[in-house]
Amino acid sequence: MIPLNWIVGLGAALFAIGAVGVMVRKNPLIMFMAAEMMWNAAALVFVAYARSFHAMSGQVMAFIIIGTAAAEVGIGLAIIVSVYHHRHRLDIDEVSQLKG
Amino acid sequence: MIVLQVVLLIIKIVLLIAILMGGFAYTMLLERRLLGFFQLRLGPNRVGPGGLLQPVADGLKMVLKEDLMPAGADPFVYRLAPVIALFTALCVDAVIPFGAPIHVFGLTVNLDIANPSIGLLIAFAFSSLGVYGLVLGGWASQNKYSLLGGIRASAQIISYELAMGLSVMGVLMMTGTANLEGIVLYQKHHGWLFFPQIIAFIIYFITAVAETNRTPFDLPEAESELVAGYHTEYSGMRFASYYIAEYINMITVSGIAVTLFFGGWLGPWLPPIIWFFIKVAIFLFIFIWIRATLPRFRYDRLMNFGWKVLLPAALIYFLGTAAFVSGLI
Amino acid sequence: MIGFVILAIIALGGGIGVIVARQPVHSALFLIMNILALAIFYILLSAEFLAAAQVIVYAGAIMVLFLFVVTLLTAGKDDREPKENLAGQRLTAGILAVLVGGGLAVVGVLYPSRAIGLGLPHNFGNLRGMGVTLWGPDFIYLAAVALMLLTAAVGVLVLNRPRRQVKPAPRLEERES
Repeated sequence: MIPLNWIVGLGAALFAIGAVGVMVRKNPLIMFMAAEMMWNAAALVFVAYARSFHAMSGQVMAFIIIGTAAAEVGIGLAIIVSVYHHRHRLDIDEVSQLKG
Repeated sequence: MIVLQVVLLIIKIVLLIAILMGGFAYTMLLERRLLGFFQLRLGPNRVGPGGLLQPVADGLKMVLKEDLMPAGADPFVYRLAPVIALFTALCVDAVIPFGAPIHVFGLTVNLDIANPSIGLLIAFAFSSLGVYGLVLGGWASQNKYSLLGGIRASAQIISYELAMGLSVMGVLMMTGTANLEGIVLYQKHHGWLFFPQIIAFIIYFITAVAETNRTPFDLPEAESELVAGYHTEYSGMRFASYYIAEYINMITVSGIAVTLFFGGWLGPWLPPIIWFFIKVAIFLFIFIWIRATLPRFRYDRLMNFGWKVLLPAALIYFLGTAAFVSGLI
Repeated sequence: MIGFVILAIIALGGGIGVIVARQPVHSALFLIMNILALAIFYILLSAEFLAAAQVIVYAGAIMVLFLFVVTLLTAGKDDREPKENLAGQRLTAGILAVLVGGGLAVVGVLYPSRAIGLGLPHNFGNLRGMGVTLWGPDFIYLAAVALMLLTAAVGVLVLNRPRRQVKPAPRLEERES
């Protein structure tokens, strides 16, 4: 049987990797993927605790995370594509001024 | 006992792959012969009696072909993509029950590799992974036609997957289970789900044709505009992997349609497994018939049809089924 | 335990791969590897519906959308990132992340936690259990997710609505010259 705290440790490690990814990369697509990884790490910990406490609510939280990710990726990719149409470069610094 | 189980599982897996590969070879032959008849010509009939050994000849030819890789290709992804396509195509069949459980030597043997309680969802999960083979192959080839084919494949499959998922939800609600064997057993007592779910079945079948990239939805490999689409640069066994994956996907979606809507292995007189194969064969014939009959969609019409016709229709029928099952109407 | 270690290595390897890969497509592939490893974790943690949802929604739809955009935007170019001057930020980020993540991981591993219990409630984590929870006590979350998805769909349509032809902004190189 998997010990709960090891899974929580794994979740923390994945979250940290995702955070590093958001901070060190300049390609908005890769930053976005790293952010997805942070979501996933949180979902993993939720599911682990749900299993530990025999509570379905933890799984509902993971379900929300999956739903949120779907909504977020739709919007985010639309923004990236429309920025790319204007700027023709994939660089997050292109949008540092937040105007068309 | 556990050793026996493992041995049985391995035998079943090997048998399943053998059946699927044989099914692929003879579906391809059937397609070529039938297309010949549809077009008032003979089709391949030289190798063996009536052309029955043609798949062997084709296979030998594929194995002996040179394996090419374009100079600018991404080597790892280029090699990985056909493997993904073939692997996911084979995996989906693991949950489809091919027949009623049989009893041999005091053992009850289920005619599927696995019988999970969420079998239908697992089948959908694997088939939704199949598109990676197409997209990655198109991207890794560094060829504009391949790339266009891959991009088309991803957009098309995401769009049609929604309608496909919604169309089978009605079956799930009526049977109250996502276990494929349970769905077949429900139909044993209540009759084929095809009758109450006829519109859902039509939507499922259209989206299934689109998911397998068959005519009239074969935009990702449209040979008149994109050379051969995502597999333009592939040759030899890597090309064969894509080819096998396409035909096995055809067999798989037919198997799922038979299981969900046409009572799976159920039928009088003949053994269950024969009934299953007969029903699947009828579906394969319809696939080939459609290919010989219909011209290809234009891409914007394909998208409009998927989002503005199939999805709302599936949604409305889904809501109607929900109202029916819950007793509102 | 061996299974846990193998899966954890796959998940962590995928995670590290995402942030070190040069090409966005390779990043996406590593992320898919990570997601599939987590899906197997969900099955081990008896959340079979979530495992299927993870594969269907995350790997089957979200990542395909990512690949679609990546292949569309990076088609036919050598997509090396421009030379960047954030060495200081990189170092800070690395140190901070190792401190925070390592700290969290150590606390998580060392903290005396409950063992994962046996003897689960009926229908735990399967389709029926999830449905009963989502339509029963936790209905508010289901409604919230539904509303959010609807908003997102409308938002995407608004963002990409056909607009009047505007002259595209000059490319960076042209502006600088």
